[in-house]
Amino acid sequence: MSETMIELRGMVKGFGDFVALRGIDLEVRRGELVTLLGPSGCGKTTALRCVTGGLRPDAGEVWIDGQNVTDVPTHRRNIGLVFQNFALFPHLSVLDNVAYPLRVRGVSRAERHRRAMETVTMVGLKGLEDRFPREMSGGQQQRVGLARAVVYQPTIVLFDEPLSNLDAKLRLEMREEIAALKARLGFTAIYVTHDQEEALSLSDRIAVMEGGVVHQIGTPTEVYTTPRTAFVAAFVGNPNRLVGQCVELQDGRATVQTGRGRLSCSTGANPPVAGADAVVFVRPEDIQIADGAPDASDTLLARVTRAAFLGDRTEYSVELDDHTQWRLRLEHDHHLAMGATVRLRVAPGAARAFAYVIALAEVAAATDPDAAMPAPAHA
Amino acid sequence: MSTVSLRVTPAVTRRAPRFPQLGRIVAYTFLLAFLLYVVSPFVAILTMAFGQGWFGGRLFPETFTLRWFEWAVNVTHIPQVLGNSFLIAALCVLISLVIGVPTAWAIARRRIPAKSLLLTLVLLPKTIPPITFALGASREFYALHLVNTHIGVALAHAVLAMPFVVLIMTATFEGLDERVFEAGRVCGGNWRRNAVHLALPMALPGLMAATLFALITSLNEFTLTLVTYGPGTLTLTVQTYLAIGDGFQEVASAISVILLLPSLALLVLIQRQIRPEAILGGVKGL
Repeated sequence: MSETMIELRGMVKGFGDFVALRGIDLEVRRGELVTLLGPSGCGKTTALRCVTGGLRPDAGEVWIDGQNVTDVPTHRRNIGLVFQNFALFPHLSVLDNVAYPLRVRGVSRAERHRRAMETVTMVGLKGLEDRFPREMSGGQQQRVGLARAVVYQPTIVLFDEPLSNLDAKLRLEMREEIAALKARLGFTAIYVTHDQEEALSLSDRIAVMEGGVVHQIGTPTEVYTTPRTAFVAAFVGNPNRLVGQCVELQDGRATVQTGRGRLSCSTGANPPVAGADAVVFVRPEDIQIADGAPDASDTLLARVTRAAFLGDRTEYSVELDDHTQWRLRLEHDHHLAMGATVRLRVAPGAARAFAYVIALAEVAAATDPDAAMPAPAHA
Repeated sequence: MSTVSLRVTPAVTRRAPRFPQLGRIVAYTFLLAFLLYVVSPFVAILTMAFGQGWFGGRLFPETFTLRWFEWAVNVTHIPQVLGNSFLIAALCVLISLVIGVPTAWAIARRRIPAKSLLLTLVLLPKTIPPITFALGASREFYALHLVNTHIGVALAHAVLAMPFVVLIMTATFEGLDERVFEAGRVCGGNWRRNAVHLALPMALPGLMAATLFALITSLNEFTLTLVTYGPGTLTLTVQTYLAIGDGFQEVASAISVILLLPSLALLVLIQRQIRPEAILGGVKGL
């Protein structure tokens, strides 16, 4: 199962002055679904289009199933592609849309009718096969796009933000649909998205991209729990941030002095060095209530400013001593009153620290510009 | 539901107009005037073509007759002239499409420097007076021995028909989504397959419109025909003109009526068929 199906080697692509890809290496194994996750402009779509053949990389190679296809035209690459805007053929019925890849492959009329019908049924559109794309809802149209991409049983199916034109409920439904289809047909897939939830739930592995480089490739769990860079930490999971000073870096663990106490943090790439400023990331679910505990050095005092009921949990916004806003998620057996002062503790091993100077730009790229990063205390 | 309308009703009370009928009367007067202006020449031509003894201040001709049509057929050889007109029109459509469609594709789908300048150039033959253009064209046609050939007249017509084709097809091609063609390539279609199975049917409404406009342009063209025609390539418009010159007003009217028919038929076709959805519905089985 570890056989490489798609491989990008040192891919570089620029558009005029803008460099979209700065040397991407990526291996996708047979049967694997790898997501390219990142904000818009990070190069994920450019990378995908190099795989489809829509773009030719300035440098580097694309290999599919052991063959260098860098100079093979799109129509001979035998891949399926699901488009963000569906890109259905407006003058063809659903059935003819789905049958088109079979038609260009010279499959007989009866056979392509049978196989297209089978695929249309598979995506739950039986009964609508004679409709035209304009007569269907967005969700239905994307099902047609899905059916058209898999009807000739390509070994590789690519997804270019397939759900971003659909509403929230439909997105969830289609996510299941794609996962079920992949389980059934066993294709290898590259999936491009900016939605971290989509990436975390669908992927075997995630490649987090920013500024034309891959920051981290790993399983959803790896990416979520052990982000390699501050960008990955900030982009995936929207964690809380805290700025402090690193007092010690030893065996990959950093001890960070914050306004209220010391935190022992794990580190990734770009760890803070002793004596330098550090950014600490803590996920909302890794913050515990430490009320009743003695005034230990690793606890933080905070005031509750907002509560948002999420159904299974409640998300609280709190303000720390230094006016930093944090979010934490608690089971319902904890109830915090508005304006109350609570003592918080970070779960052991849950904090992750990065060097402040490098993290600053990466966090800005991962979040919206309004969410300014807190400055170090002495600044 | 009812509570909503109850709340809304008082808010929309309007001041009653002082002369409730005035607007309507003005509108109908203008409409009538416009109809008279457009329709009355046609009424005159029809009356002249079918009437005999329509002199002076008479409201109606003495009798109605088909003899002017007989004359048109027998004396002015209308069947042959009609054949010329349609052959020339068909050639003109062909030439305009063969040159105009690829030009439109290039303007619409390729990055071309000075695109707007190019479009202006395409429109040039339509903006300068036809007689000016005809003068130059006739000189060249004599030199190239194109006078009195069907292809020669068709070439002259194509100069005026082509701008329509380029304009309509440029708009059509600009409206096609590039990603649909990318989808075609990903599906495994080479450019030829995608052109036949995707681009052509999607551009069909535009192609129909362009064809009809080119056809009408050629059938109705007069100025350029006058300097390029010969005895073998007489067209309906020129024959009408010659009949007037010979003093046969009634015969000229009869020819005009015949000349009107294809234009009216095409007008109906345009009305019915040039809606894209109608065309797309028409290629369902493709």
